[in-house]
Amino acid sequence: MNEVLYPPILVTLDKAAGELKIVWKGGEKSHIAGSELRRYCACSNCRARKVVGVALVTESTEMRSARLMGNNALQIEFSDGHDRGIYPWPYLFAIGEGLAQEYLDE
Amino acid sequence: MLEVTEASVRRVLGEIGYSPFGSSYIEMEAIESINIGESGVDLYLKVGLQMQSKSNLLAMTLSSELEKAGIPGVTVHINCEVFASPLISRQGHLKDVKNIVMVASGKGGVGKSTTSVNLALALQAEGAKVGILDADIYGPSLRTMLGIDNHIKPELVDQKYVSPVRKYGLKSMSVAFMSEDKTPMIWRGPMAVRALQQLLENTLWGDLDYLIIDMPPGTGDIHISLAQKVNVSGAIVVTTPQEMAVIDARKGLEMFNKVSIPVLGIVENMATHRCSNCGFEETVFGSGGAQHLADSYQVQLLGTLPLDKRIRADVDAGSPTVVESPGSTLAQSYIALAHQVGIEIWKTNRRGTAAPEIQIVDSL
Ligand SMILES: Nc1ncnc2c1ncn2[C@@H]1O[C@H](COP(=O)(O)OP(=O)(O)OP(=O)(O)O)[C@@H](O)[C@H]1O
Ligand SMILES: [Mg+2]
Ligand SMILES: [Zn+2]
Repeated sequence: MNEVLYPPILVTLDKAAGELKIVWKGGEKSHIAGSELRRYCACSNCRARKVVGVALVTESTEMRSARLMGNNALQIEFSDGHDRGIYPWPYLFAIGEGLAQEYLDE
Repeated sequence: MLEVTEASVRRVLGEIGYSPFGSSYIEMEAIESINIGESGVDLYLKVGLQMQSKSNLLAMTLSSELEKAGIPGVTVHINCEVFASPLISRQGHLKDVKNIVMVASGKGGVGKSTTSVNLALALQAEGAKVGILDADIYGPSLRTMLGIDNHIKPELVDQKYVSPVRKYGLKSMSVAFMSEDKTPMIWRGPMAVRALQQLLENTLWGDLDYLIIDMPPGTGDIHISLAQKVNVSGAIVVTTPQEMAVIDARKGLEMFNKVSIPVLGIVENMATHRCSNCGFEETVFGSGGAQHLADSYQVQLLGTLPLDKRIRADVDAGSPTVVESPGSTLAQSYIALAHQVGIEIWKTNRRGTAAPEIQIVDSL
């Protein structure tokens, strides 16, 4: 994937819209709904639950905060307190493009 | 003689090889301004590190180099200011910390802590504002190395924050400062990482040019997640010349590459030994490993420190060599290391892209 995209210039967590808005280095934009981010949370817990087929519907898709995690990822905290999901820039971009599953399969 | 114009001064500065930064003043964008007056030329340089022991001499040498190149009578003024890392987001009380540098190794016992504390003091000796965090939860050593009395505890502020303990002017913090007894706390992976992150962000560091983090040995999960969570400007990998240490240092380099942390370079510790009888300096464990590693990862060999029992005796006594024997060649080696580290941070920061801005908006 295209290295020059990362890192983003601006990340806006729009709580009212329930959306994460990202402006990438080259000016490209991604809008990602909280529900998408929750669905594609790649923490070991969420992945394990998907494997055993436990539905994720009861969980909050409302985002409480976002912070930089090291130099190459974003950590998102949902309003139920779940904050184990860490989204590296390429993964976030893939989610925004609707290619999250392809990215995980790669 | 050349016609002295701003352009000719710039051209000559681009041509003369002499620059302690390994690249010309033009490449480093170190020229702030050039004033051509009746009585002479004033050249103002802006340098991204503190180098008090060298800057006046550098100004004079450069003036002489310019004269040899056909431009006499230049007064060189050097303005030193540490360049702030664009990579870090400065969360919590790290807001006025310009650079955070991790000192790591693969193998234990190679001298990370000894190097960290002497490096921190050497950076400070050159005029920088420096802090040091002992992140070794398994074997904290900062209290001993800085000779901080056991009864001295960091001061609690507003029930939430702590003031660093100051020694030799250095702001220091360690997990060991917080615990009551001497037995190290037993922390498992994620808890340890969280505790360290909190300690880092809840310490009132104030204004710092450099915050040095002395890491625990290894390249395990804790290291990876600490390196990931703590937003740092760069990393230094310490090794000894032994093959095993170099192999482990390589793992350290790989780890930092994986989490996109720039590696400033490698320090080779306990590299040579000088015979106390005849003064002959010899390599202890073979040589060339660290240089080779640096070459293959295209990073700098920042410095080489000898195996010398005074280095050990000084940290054991709580008075590291840089403060204990400032005039010694050992202390000079640490000062030289501090320069290389300062230069690499400056260069890395110039190349780096900025950390993204993160906004959280509540309403429309
Ligand atoms: N250049 C040196 N010359 C002589 N002794 C040294 C030198 N560097 C370190 N030492 C000594 O080697 C021992 C290990 O050093 P140090 O504690 O700094 O290593 P470390 O890498 O931090 O270890 P750990 O992995 O346990 O944290 C100490 O006793 C120290 O005094
Ligand atoms: Mg140590
Ligand atoms: Zn999750």
